[in-house]
Amino acid sequence: MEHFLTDHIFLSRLQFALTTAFHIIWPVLTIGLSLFIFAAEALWLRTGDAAWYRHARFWTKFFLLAFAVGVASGVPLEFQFGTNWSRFSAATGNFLGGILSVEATTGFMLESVFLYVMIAGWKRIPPRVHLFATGMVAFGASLSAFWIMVANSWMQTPAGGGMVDGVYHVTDRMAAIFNPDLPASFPHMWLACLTSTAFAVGGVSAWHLLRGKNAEFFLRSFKAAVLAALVLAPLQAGTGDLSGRTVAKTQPAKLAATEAHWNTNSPDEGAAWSIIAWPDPANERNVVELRVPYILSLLATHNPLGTVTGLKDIPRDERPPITILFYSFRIMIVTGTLMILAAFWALWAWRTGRLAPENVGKQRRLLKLFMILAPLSFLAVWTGWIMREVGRQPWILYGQLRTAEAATPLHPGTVGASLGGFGLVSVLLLGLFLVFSARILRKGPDMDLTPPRRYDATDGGGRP
Amino acid sequence: MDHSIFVDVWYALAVLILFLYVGLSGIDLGVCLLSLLVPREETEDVLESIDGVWHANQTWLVVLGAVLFGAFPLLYATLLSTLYVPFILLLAMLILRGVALEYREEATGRHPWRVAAGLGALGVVLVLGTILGAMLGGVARTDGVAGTLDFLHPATFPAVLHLLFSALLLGGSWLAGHDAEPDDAAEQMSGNGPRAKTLARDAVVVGALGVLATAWPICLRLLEAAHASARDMLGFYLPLGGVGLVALILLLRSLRRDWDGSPLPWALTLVGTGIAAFFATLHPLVLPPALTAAQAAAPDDSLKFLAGAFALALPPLLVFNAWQYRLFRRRSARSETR
Repeated sequence: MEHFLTDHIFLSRLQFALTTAFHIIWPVLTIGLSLFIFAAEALWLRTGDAAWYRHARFWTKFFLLAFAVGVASGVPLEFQFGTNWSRFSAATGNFLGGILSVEATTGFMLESVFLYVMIAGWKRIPPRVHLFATGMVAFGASLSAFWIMVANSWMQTPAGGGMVDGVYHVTDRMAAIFNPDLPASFPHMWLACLTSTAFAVGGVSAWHLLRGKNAEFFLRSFKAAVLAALVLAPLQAGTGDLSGRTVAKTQPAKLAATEAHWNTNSPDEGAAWSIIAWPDPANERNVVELRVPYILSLLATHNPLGTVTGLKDIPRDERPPITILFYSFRIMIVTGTLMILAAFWALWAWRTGRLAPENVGKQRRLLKLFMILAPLSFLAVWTGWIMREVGRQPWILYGQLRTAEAATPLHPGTVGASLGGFGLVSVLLLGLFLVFSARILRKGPDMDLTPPRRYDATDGGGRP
Repeated sequence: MDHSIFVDVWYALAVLILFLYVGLSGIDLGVCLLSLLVPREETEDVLESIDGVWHANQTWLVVLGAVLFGAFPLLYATLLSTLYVPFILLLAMLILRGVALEYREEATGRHPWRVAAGLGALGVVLVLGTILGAMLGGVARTDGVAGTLDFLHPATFPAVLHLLFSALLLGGSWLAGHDAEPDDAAEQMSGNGPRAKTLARDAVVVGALGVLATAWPICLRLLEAAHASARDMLGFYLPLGGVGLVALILLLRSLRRDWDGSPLPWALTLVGTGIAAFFATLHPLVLPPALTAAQAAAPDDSLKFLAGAFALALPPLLVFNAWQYRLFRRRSARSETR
């Protein structure tokens, strides 16, 4: 077996994994923040409350920082299909190229065109036109996510055509777009964007509340984040469940590996769920395991006796790596559960009057939990994606094209150099984002900001 | 020809999108280049003039990449894998310029960021020229080995220079036209200084002449690749030459003080003429010496789907794009965010 550092396919995979993992942070933030800013702006226009206007302006600063890194890290992804996965792009361009084209024009372009209208148009255009621009940015961002999830879910469950001489030909484009994985995975990812942003906003607000800086201002965004989390975090568990059942149906190997589940259960006995396990793939068993009976069948099929295919019934050369999937999934589940608990804890504190401006700073444990959950909510996104993508291996197009057959035949040194470059750039960009974000946070919101006159208001409520 | 009309439609559309990228992003890349040449105190004003538009301009590159992937998968796969090194460099340069432009706003010492934006833009133009040159000059080949340094070839020079001159021409035209209305108070406050103004005019003249001078060797090489002579292409070259000549005359006239209006439309026409000439000559090839559009294209139903999607998406997008330009044409975008 080749050493992994001289294996150009492994290096190309690592490069794609690294660049996507770094990239995904930013669209999650821009999708969520654009909707939050839109909501704040709409609330300002409706109520005339200047505080909502200041919120829209304040969070727009973060939006712009995140958008800039999102573009810088996102453009390389589109090009990597061609540079590192040329055989894959030649084989799937008929469908994926079209979908990415639609994504670029309807999603990304819409966002880019309206971005600066939103950033710099606050006083130049009537508030309602500005709200429209903000809405288009938010719409473009979410639409982009939809098309990207179409592309990705089609790689999980290719449908609507078949391979002819090594090239995928589409016969039913609607079936390809609305492939079996999409109905579960798009809502799951879109809600992930909103949930993670709610916890990012909640964490930033909690940080300010702990320090008693602009407490009134950040109490508003903290409560908004709590409300959003209360709705989103449990919903997210629901779409996750749907996702799990879809995987059980469409990608049994991924499910079996995620659960370190070796033996297909017999019809009269439900499959057990391992809380922890350490798999030993060579001997097809788990060295250590702690199991709860029936739970895996219940989770995967909603039936305590439902059949769950074990790894032993899947050919060795079609099994994905096990340990990384097993633990990624569990980290995601634990984080998601913490997020739900935190949301309800905050609701309880709110209902018992402990989130009033004068005493919210004393809720140290609650606020600290929210600060910790801000980065953890992104960890949940990462681990979810690791499970999704590593779990698709050894296929790049599930069941149709193997990853190893899809890579550009490059010299390992060349890929190694570009991989190193991307790694360095990612670290630099992340550092820049953090330094500049800290600067914005230290400066705090501009409380002297006066909103432009609302065109529909006669009560002058837009002015403090 | 036995291939479908959609192959030719997409050939034309891909060239149009290439033009939208080279033409529109040429403006902001050129402005970044010129910002390196103006005195330090004028740099910010020069860069500020593109804050509202460069993002959308650059997005046309993303659209172009995606369209090649969707309409000509084989070209996309071949071009990007054989030119692995220049494409990775292009990404690095795009990142450098984009982040420098965006983050200079929050930086404490802003000047190094401005210089980084300028140098990043220079890198983008040079690498992009190399890629275009490698494609048109027959350096990137379907049988080429991926990831080598073969792209360092003299045949790419004319295209490198061509894009450099295009950027100077477009950036200069933007800056020269930017203070066409001196009665605008805000414009005078943040308007371009006297050095930037003179420089912009010089850049327009030098850029225009350079664009014309470098277009010819590119066309000659393409004719060779297409096994055609200039005589065969007269039906294309004569009208295109006419349009180019008129654009050049109007461009030079528009630089005079008594001319009311921006040189930009004429600069764009000139650059567009060049691109039209190159790809009219190359047609039906997409990658000399042998890969044709029909061979590289996706099957008909894929092209039809794409065409439908673009027929829906492109018109409103262009309208929004034009509206955005109108909004940010006169005043700098950032002055209000502070």
